[in-house]
This record gives sequence, C-alpha cells and structure tokens, in this order.
Amino acid sequence: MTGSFHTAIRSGMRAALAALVKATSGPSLFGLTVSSTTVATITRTDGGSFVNDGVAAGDELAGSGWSNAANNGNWYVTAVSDASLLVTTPATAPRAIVSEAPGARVTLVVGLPSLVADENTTFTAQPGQCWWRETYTAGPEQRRSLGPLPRVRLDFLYAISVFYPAGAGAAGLDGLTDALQAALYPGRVLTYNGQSFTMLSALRTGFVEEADWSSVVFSARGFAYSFSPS
Amino acid sequence: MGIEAFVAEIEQYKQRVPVQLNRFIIAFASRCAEEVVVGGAFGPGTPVDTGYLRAMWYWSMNGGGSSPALARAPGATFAAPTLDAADLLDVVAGDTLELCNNTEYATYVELGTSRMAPRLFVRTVANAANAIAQQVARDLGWTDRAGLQLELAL
Repeated sequence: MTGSFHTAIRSGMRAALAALVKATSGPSLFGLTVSSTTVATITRTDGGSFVNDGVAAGDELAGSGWSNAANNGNWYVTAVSDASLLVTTPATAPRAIVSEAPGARVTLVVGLPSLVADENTTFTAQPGQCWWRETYTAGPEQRRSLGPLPRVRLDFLYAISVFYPAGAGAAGLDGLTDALQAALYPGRVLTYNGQSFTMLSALRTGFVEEADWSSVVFSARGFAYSFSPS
Repeated sequence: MGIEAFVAEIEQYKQRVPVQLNRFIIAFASRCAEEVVVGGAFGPGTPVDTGYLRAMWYWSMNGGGSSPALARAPGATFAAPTLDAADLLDVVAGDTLELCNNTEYATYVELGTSRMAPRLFVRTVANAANAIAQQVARDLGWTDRAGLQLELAL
C-alpha cells in the first residue's frame, strides 16, 4: 500500500480522537475565583456534580462561555469535588485570567489532552500537564483478490499512551480509556480523504507508574482495504 | 457410494481432523513465538540490548513451565533462547499455551514510558495473528483457507 494510505489512517485516527469527549459539565452558571496568576477555583451552585459529570484530577478542561476571553481555553484539574474544581492554566502559556461571578452560561469539556507526541515530531512533556502519544504500526498486507490490481487488506495497530501527572489518581485515566473504548468500538468505520478503515478491537493495559507520570496504553486494532498493490 | 463406505469415510475424517488440527496449533504457536522472540515478517522481535529480555521467554502449557534461571552480571550478554519444541508436542486442542516472560522491565519495553516509545513487539504479532494463521496454513499445504480466522488474546 502507498504511504499516503498509512497517512490517511493516522490522520483519520487523529481526527476521530480530536472529537473525543470524556466528560461535559454545563452549560451552566459557573463561577471562577482566581487565586494566583495560574491557579483558580471553578464553582457551581446549580445542584450538579463535577464528580458525577466525570471530571477527575489530572484532566484537561476546555472551557467556553466565560465573559472574560482569557478564561476560555485550557485548564488542568488538580482537585475535584461535587461543587468545585481546583484548576491551573499552563505555566508555559500564562493567560490574563480574572475572577468571574456566575453570570454567563459556561461549558466545560474533557477530551484527550491537547499536548500530543505525534509520530515523527519532537515533543517535550510539561510537568503537571497531561499528554498523550500515538504509535502507529502497520501490520501485514494480505492479497484478497486476483488480477493486476488486487484487493489488499492491511491490518494496523494504533496505540494511544495517555500520561497523567503521578498522584492524580486513577479516575481520570480510567474515564478516558472508557471513552476511548466507546469511541473506537469494533465495527466502527472511520473515513479520511475518501479512505475508509474499520476498527477491529480495542484493549487497554494496566497502569504503568513512573516517578512523574501514570500512564495507560490503549491499543486499537483495525483494518483497511485498498486496491493499490504495494 | 454405499452407506458403509460413507460411514467409513466419516470415521476416517474424524481421525484425520484432530491430527491436522494439532499440527496446525503447533505450527501456529511456533511461528508466533518466533515472531515475538526473534522477529520476522509479522513482528519486529524482542528488542535486544544485553539480550536478557529475549532470553527470558519460555513456554507454559496449562499453567506449567518455569522461567529460565539466568544470572545477570555487568557486561553480560545473553543468546536467543531455544524454546524447546518438545514442549509443544503434547499440545492438543483445548490446552492453554502461553508464551511467558518474567523480566521485570518487559512491560516498559512493550508499552513504553514517558521517555521511551512503546516497542509493541508482542502486540504487533497479536495483530497479525490472522495473517500468520493464513501463512501457516499455506506452509502446511492446506488449500482451503477461506474460513480460517484466528484471534490472539492479550
């Protein structure tokens, strides 16, 4: 198969994962209390629960709907309770965050971390900020039909290693892998640039513990057909 | 064909199938092990620095078997293991056959760490199980492979 076919699979996986939603809170009237240039507390009085919504320590939140534009953007969750979240902004990209009383309807969404170690790129992990790494492995190609342009089946393995800061607890990684399992269910057909591929199975490993990080590897298997010979 | 001849043929078939199936299981297991341990068309093989990780593979049938006892010393290197084919000769359909490795850092090499990308030398082979099965069937001279679908559990 051609290299562009592998690129299409990788790109299709990335597009699918960019749309992944692990948890959503709101839209609702949330308050924001800034305690330093990078630390704040998000509170709610609507009777809902951040815990029940699926938000966990170590998660990265994408906030939208705040009146102050700088409050929108990414937040890293360091502690969770039913009515409040202790969050930080990336120290490497500080924003002019300000306190806000509940007034605007705010939505908080947790997906895969925005920091990604894509293949063939240079990446440096940032302390305290969750991140993930992709590993794409092309499997064997099997000829499935005769003729000068045979139908060729390619099996592939796409591994997603998600890293959360050590000490964040297991809830965040568990919830994220559950969301991955639901998103990449066997039989799901993904399409990118006209090339379609089908998910076969998805497995997660146990936790890998390091001094600074806890991680889980989620490996998704799939296959694709192409009429292009190798 | 008379009914007696038909019954005789069925009886012959009943005897032939388990033998063929066992041949396939042994050949398939051996090929998967080869791909995991030293690598080949379907897998990269176990990464080698000193060779200790690669040397620690062993067969476990129905929960038996034991890990190789290898003494590690600074600068020591280890040869590829000779996975004893005799261990497989008693395998029959229904047995549980596992390829094991008790090296404490095996998980880190397979799954990676924050500083090292995963090598996936086991999962890559598992992902190719169906293709390996097809290849083994071809090697055994089977011609009808249309329905042959296998999955490896991790």
